Amino acid sequence: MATSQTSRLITAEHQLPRLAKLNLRQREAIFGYLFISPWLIGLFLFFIVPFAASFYLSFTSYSILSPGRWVGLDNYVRALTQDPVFWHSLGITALYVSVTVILRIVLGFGLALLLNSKVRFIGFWRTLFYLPSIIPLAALSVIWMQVLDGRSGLLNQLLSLFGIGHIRWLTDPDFALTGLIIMSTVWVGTTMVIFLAGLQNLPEEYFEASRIDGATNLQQLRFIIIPLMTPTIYFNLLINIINAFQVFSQALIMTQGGPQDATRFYMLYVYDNAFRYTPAQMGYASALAWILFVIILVFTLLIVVSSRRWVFYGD
Amino acid sequence: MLRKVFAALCVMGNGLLMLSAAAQGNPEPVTITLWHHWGGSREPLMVEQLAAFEEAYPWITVENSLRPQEGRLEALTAAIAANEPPDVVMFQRQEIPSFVLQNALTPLDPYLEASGVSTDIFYPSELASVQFDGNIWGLPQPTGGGQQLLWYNVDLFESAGLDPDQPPQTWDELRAAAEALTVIQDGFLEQLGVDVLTPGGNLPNFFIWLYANGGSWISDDLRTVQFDSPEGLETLQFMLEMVELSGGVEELTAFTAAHTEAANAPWYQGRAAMEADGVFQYAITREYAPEMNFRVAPLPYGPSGSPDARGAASGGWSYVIPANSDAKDAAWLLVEWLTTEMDGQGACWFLEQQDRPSPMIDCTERIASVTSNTLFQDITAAASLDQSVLATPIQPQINDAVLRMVESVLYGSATPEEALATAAGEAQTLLDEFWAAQS
Repeated sequence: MATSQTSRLITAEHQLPRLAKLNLRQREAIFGYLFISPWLIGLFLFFIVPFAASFYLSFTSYSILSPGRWVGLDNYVRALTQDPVFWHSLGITALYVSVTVILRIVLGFGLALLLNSKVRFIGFWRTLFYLPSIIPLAALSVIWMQVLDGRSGLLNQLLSLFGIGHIRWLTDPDFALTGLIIMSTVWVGTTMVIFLAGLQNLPEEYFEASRIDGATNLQQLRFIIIPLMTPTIYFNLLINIINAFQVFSQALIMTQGGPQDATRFYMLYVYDNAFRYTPAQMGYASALAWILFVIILVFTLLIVVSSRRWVFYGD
Repeated sequence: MLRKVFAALCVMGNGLLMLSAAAQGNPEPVTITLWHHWGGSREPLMVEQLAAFEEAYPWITVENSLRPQEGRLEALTAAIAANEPPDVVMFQRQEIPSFVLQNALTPLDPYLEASGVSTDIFYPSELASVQFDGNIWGLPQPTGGGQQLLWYNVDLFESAGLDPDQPPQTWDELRAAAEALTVIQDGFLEQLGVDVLTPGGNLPNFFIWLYANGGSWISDDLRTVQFDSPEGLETLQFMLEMVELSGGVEELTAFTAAHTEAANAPWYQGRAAMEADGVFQYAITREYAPEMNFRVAPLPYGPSGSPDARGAASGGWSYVIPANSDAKDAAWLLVEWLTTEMDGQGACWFLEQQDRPSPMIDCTERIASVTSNTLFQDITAAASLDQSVLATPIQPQINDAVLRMVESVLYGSATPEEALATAAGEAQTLLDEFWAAQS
């Protein structure tokens, strides 16, 4: 015992002078990397390795239980030229993304504007709108199955007050996607909170100056708030597009892709291939996942490039 | 010095004990894992059954893992791939071919032979459903047959002026009974005659009615799709008529989907007059609706069908041993206990407690002689009219194509003829690609 303690002390004595020889910048760098090493190791093991593995697997017929064989670009060719479900699920997902992103941005911005004003019980209202964002998706899906129930659901009961007949939200192919789009508005809370933070950071002097010049609220919104909020809109747009493309759990729980494939979102189809089909089509599912990655990347790049034209950083 | 002598004596003593145990034939203690899905009222039965097993084989400890059915294949596949599989798994028989082709299961023939268990103890159709490529890959428990019996509510029959002693035998009679029993008010289904879209079992609803109509979906060599046939067309037309009778597909599915809790399902609530479901329905109905007056009959047959061929048996549960289990001998003893044991709290006792038939001939006869299930003879008689339906290694993909076909007809986006041709073509392409890849 005593011997090992002594040897550790000797080793430390030898190491300290070595560290002492380094300049401050180098020592800071070493300690910096040491401090972030848990995150770096996690990034490498749980993101970069699976990322690279899925890219490799997308060129194979890997089925989890058997290694499969190298098939080159076959999986990509099959998806793009021979698989009607691929195009159908992509179309459904694109429609969902388009509508939900606009809805969430508009509603989130509107709610943030309302909750940025001086109304009573502001804390309560902010909590109320944010609360659904922290409820587990599975629980939320079960609740929304009741809300969208085609016979006695809450939504139909509300609509009946306006004379609108019962809509079978989850069992009619013409309305199932709409039902899930309506449901997606419950996550507006996250978008709203980010907008709210942006609104609260707007410089007060702009508003004071505009009031002196006689600007109305609407003019303030159009010429001050919206331009100054474009960086936040830009951020929310990116995050919402990336999230919406990955819509999955609610469709799995509430509709299983039906009725008549009306809610067979892209990620649901990836899941089917990876896990539900036998033998598992993990190679093909990996190719599908990479195609989605490229699609999201293209959208992101388009927004990033276009942002130079419409995002105002106040400089 | 004394310490060293004492330690040496201890080592010698342990060695002698181990030699003595080996001489008596007691194997090394082993722990094995069982994955199963016997939840609800069956869970305590399973616990008791496993306790009895551990008493009979004291060197084996069973880790009893009750798992949800959702995602069961994903979990099993991942566990096998990670080389951490359970040693015994409750497994759907129609999934055996796919797993066998991926070398993921252990053939049980050598174990059956070594233990002297005769396969003659099982009904031939039950045994056939666990065989593939000349080997036995699992043992059946409980019955795979009798998954689509026609359960009917006697009180609702009498209220509608129907004779409960004369349940529908043919599709025409089923249609007539459903017409009398279905109640639609203001466009809403209030009482369901029969739901043809959710019969019991693992097969797509279309296949079940197809076999009740004398059809077949696949050739015996699993290479050629056969459901694009006159029997198939009659089946689709029949399903469409029955769904229209229930207020249309949107209303029917909304009606059945509205009950998220099993106990609230229309059948148990007395809001469905007939239910095409499995043998297990007796015990479950007794549990959820103890006051219900119900009976059972064979599934009605179609115009091209036969009174001697009603339900479609494909799969059912079995117990298998993953190929990379590292305790196969002990796993086999558990499989043997769970599927063939006639004595004590073994396989036969487990089903006896549930008043349901067994895949074992002697066991079913024993249960028949002691059961309080007044419908037991009717159930076994109806189940004996089952036909065995083959499953392919790519069954989920085929089932998806068939589901799309049925939905396109019910939602009016294709005629039955168009839908049949499209789905048959899609299924044949899937099969051709699969077998080509295998070769």
